[in-house]
Parts: sequence; C-alpha cells; structure tokens
Amino acid sequence: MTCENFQQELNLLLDKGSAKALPDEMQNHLSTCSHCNGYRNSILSLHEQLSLIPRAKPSKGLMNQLLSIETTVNEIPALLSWKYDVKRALIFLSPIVLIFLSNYLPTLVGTLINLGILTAGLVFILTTILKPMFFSRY
Amino acid sequence: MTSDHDFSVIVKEFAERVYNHAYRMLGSRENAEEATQDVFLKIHKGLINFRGDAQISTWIWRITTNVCLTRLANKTKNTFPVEYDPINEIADDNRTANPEKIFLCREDHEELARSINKLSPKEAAAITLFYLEDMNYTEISDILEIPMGSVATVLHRGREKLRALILKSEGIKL
Ligand SMILES: [Zn+2]
Repeated sequence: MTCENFQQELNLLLDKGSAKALPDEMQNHLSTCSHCNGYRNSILSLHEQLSLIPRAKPSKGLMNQLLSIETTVNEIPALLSWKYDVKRALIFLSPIVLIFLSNYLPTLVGTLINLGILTAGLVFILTTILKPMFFSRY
Repeated sequence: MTSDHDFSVIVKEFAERVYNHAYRMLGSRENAEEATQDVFLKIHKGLINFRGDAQISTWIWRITTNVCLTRLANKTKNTFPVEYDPINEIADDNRTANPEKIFLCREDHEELARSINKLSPKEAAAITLFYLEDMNYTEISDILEIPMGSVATVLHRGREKLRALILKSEGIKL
C-alpha cells in the first residue's frame, strides 16, 4: 500500500465514521510509515474539530426581516395596481384609436401606421399583460 | 400554499441553519445576512411552484448553496485567489516530526471555521454540509448536483487544504 492509497482510504473511512479501527492492510502500512502516522493524527484531529465548530446565530433583526418578506412581497402588487389600471385603459382605448386613425389616414402611410400600432399593441399585450398573468409566481 | 410549506414555518425552521451555512461559506456576517435574505426571497418566490418532487429541505439547501456559490464566484472574480500550497507540491524533507501536536492543542474553532471560506466554493459547500449539517454523501450529491464519487473527492481535497492552511498558519511545513 502506498502513502497515497493509505490517505485516500483513511479519508473514505472518516466519511463513513469508521476511521478509528483500521483494516489490517492499513494498520500494517501505519506501523512502518511515520509520515502516514503523523497524517492520520492530524486528519483525525481536524475531522474532530470540524465537527465541533459552533453554529453562528442570526441576529433578531435578520429574523424579523425574513419573517416580514411574506408581508412585504405580497404588498408590492397592491402598490403597483394603478399601473395595471393604466394598462387596462390603454388596451380598451387602442381599438378606438385604431378606428379613428384608419378613417382619417386611409392612405398607404395610414395603413402602415395602423399595422405598426397594431403590432406594437399586440407585443405590449403579450409581454406585459398576458405573460405575468400566466407565468407569475405570485 | 399548504401548511406544510408555510413560509413563516420554513423561516423559523431553516433561518438559523441557512445563516450558519452562509456565514461559514462566505466568512462574514454582512455577506451571510445578505445571502440569507436572498435565499428566503427565492424560497418565497418559488414556494408556490414547489411540486414536492424533491424533499423541501433538499430544495432549500440547493437554493442556499447556489446563492453562496454565486456570491463566492463573484467575490473570486474581484479579488486575488487565496494563497495555497497544494500538499503534493511540498517537498518531503520539509516535514516536521509531529505536525499533529498543533491540531491537538488547538482550541480556536473560529479560526478553523474562517479557513473554510478559503477553500474553493464547492469544497467549502461540501465541508459545511458534511460537518455542520451532518449530511451524508447522498444528500450532498443531491444538493451540489454532483456524482457521489465526486463528493468523496471534494471532501478529501477540502480537508487536505484545511490541514495545509492550518499548518501553514502555524508556520509548520508538511
Ligand atoms: Zn505512508
């Protein structure tokens, strides 16, 4: 058994929680290798001390902030509701605007402007109104 | 949202552990507080769509670890990497007779904990989940989304680096 093998095996045993009693092959290597002896002691000690690291506690302020996430986040759509009202009004008014424009601009330029407005209106409806309605997580 | 997945219950059950994990991975209270807030915002946002294919704890730990990994990756981009001598590159004749004595006398766990955030993000995550959250290979592999065999490698490498960092800070060469 090489030193590298020994150290790898030892690490696996540490993870399984059974590094105190070594298999014969590892024990034999240990009895002839001072380097691995030192390694074993230091890694066992490190392993033990890592398990003893104390838990860091969050402050009360942080706990309160975390608990208030639910209230804060739920209030946001209500605060923004006037924006939805404006959007609804725009959607309602857009056909009237289109009829008005097609009556007063019945030329090719008018048709192009109408098509442009129609496309922009559709993109607007799809991206800002329908997408959040169906894909929002709130 | 069912009572099982009630946000305030999740906060009460996981806040301390998430904060502790973030603190040990990121190394500062300020960063840990920001990361914890990020984590719970994501949990709140995703909770309504949580389908329960995975355990809720695995899902929470995955979010926590990803938030910390992203923060660490951004930090590494903006700072110099931690100085580290890989264990294999140190000559044999520099070994001292009993480096383990230093470990045996050492009582300052905070110092050791601070060394965790000098590891690579994946190593820091694996070490923290294994030692501070008592997780096994399967759980760590689920959370970090790496094969079980890689968990062993990452843990081994993390321990090696910690060992080297501590011995180095004590002025001892391996
Ligand atoms: Zn050896």
